[in-house]
Amino acid sequence: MTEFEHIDIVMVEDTATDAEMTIRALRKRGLANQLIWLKDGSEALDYLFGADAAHNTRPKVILLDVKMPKVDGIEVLRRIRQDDNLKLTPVVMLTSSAEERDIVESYRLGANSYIVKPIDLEDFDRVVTEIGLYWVLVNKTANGGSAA
Amino acid sequence: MPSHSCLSDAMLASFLRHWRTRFPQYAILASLIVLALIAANSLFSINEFQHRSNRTIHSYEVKAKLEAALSSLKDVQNAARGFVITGKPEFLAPLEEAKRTLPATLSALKKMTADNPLQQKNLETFERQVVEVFSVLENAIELKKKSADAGAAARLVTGGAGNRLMQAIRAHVQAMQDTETALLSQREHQASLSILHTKRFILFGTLAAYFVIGGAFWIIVHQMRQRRHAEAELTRSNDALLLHTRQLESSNKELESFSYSISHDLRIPLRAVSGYARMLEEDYADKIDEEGQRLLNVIIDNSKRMGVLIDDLLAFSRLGRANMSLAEVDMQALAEQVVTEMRKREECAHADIEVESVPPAWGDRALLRQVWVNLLANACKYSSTREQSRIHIGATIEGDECVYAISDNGVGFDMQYYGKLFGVFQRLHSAEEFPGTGVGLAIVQRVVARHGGRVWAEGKVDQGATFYFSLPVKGGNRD
Repeated sequence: MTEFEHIDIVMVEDTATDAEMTIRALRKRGLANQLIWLKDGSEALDYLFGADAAHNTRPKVILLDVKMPKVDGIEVLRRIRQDDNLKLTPVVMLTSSAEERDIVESYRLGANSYIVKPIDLEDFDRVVTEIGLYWVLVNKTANGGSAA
Repeated sequence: MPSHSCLSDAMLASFLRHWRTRFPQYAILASLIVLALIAANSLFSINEFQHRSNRTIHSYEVKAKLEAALSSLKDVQNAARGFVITGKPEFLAPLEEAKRTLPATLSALKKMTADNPLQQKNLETFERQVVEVFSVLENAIELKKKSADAGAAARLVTGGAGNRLMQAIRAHVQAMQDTETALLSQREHQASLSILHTKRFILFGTLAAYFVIGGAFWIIVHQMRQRRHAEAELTRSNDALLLHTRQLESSNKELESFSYSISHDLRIPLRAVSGYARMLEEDYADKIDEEGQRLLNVIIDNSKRMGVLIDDLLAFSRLGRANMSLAEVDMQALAEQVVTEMRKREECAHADIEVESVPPAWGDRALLRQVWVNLLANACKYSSTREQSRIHIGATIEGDECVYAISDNGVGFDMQYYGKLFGVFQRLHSAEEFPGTGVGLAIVQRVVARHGGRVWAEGKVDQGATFYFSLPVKGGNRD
C-alpha cells in the first residue's frame, strides 16, 4: 500500500477472469489507474479496516462481488456501512447472482446499486463502462468528515 | 357381457355391505319386536286361560243344576208314590215344593246354557217331559183322592207310563250331562294346548331374541375392533404422510439452493469464454484471418446461447416450484398489457394484434402473465417471416372451463410432431430458422397444469397455428 495514493475505485472480486474483463473495460475509459483489485472479502476487510486503513482515502465507489469465499460481499457491505469513515461511500454490488434474496439483503444493508454481470462481453463492457463513468465522474461523493 | 356382471357384482357387494353395517340395528329392532310379541301373546294367553277357567266353573254349575233338577223330580215321584200308597197328605208337600222351584231351576239352566243351541233344545224337551211327569203324577193323585182305590193310582205312578217317562227323563238328563262333560273336556284340552303353545312361544321367541341380540353384540364388538384398527391405520398413514411432506419440503429447499448455485456458478466461466474470445478478437484482429474470425464468432454465439439456456432452464424450474397466490385475474387487461409491452420488441413491432374480449380467470397473475408472454412471443416470432403478421386473441366458455386461444398466420407446424410441441427443449424448427431454446411452451404447459387446466394446439405447415389453454372457471379444480 502506497500512501497518498488516491484510489477512486475499490474492486472486490474473486474471479480472475471477471476482474480482468472489468479492468479492461475501465482502462478503455482511463478509469483503471485509480483502481485497486482485492481478491476476496478478507483482503477487502484488511484493506478497508486493517492496520493501514487510516492511509486510505475515501474511494469514489466500492465495487463488491457477492459470492466470495471466506468473507462474502454481504458481510463486507455490512462492515462498510457500520464504519464511520465509509458509511457514506457509494457501494455497487457487481455480481453474477440474480437471486432475489441477495438483492433484498444488499439494499437492506444500504447498497447504492445492484448490477448483475451480463454474460455477453459487449453488454458487460457497456455496463461496466456505464458504472465507471457514472460513479466516478458523474456522481458526487461526500467529502470531509464522517456523518455527524 | 363383462359390464353386466360387473354391475351386478357391484350391486351385490354394496347390498352385502349395507346389511353388514346395519345388521346390529336391524337385529336389535327385530328382537324388540319379538319380545313385544311374546309379551302380548302371554298376556292374551293369560286372559284366555282366565276366561276358560270361568267357563269350566260354569259347566260344573250346569251339571250340578241338572243333578239338582233330576233329584227334585225323583223326590216328586217318591212323594207321589208315597201318597198314592198311604194316602197321607204330608207326602204332597215335596210335590208342591218342586212345582214351585223346578221352573226357576229350568229357566236358570236355560240362561246358563244360552250359548249352546243343542242344550237349549234339550232343555226344552226336558221342560215338556217335566210337564208330562207332573200331569201324570197329578192325575194319579186326583185318582187317589177321588177313589180310595190305591191300585189304579199306584199303577199310574209305578206302572208303565210313569216309569217309562222317568226313565226317558233320566236318560235325557244323562245325555245333557254328557254333553256338558264333553264340552268341559274339550275346553280343558284347548286350554292345555294353548298353554303349551304359549310356553313354546315364550321359550323359542326368547331364545331367538337372545341369539339375534348375541349376534348383534358380537358384530358390534367386531366392528368396534375394526374401527380401532382403522383409526390406528389412519394415524399411521397420517404420520407417514406428514413425514413424506416434510421430506418433500426439504427436497424442494434443496432444489432451490441447487438452482441458486447453478444460476451463479455456471455464468462465471460462461462469461469468461465469451469475454476472452471477444478480447482475442479485439486485440489480435489484424493477426486473425476470416476463418479465425468465424471460429471466434461461433464460440461467442454459443456461449450466448448457453446463457439463454441457463436462464430458460432456471425460469422453468422456478415457475414449477413457485408458490401460487390465487386471485381473480382480469385476463383482458393482462393480455392487453402484455401486447403493449411486446410491441416494444422488434419481433412484434409490426404485427397486427387483435385482442377480443376475454373473461377473467382465477389464478396467479404473475404466472399467467408469463403464459401470455410466451405464447405471444411465439406467435410474433413464427409469423415474423410473413409480410404482415396477424395475431388474434380470444376466448370461449365451455362448460366449467374457459378456453383462451391465440392464433397466428405464421409458418405453423406439422401435426405429425405434435407430441414434441410442449416438451422441454423440444423444437420443431431449427435455431437458424427461428431462435429459441424450446422451453417457452413447456413453461406454458407447466403453469396451466398447475392451475388445473390443459394446453393444446392446432397447426398446419405454412398455414399458421392456434394455441389453446383452458382454465377452470372460478370454484373449479385448483393446484
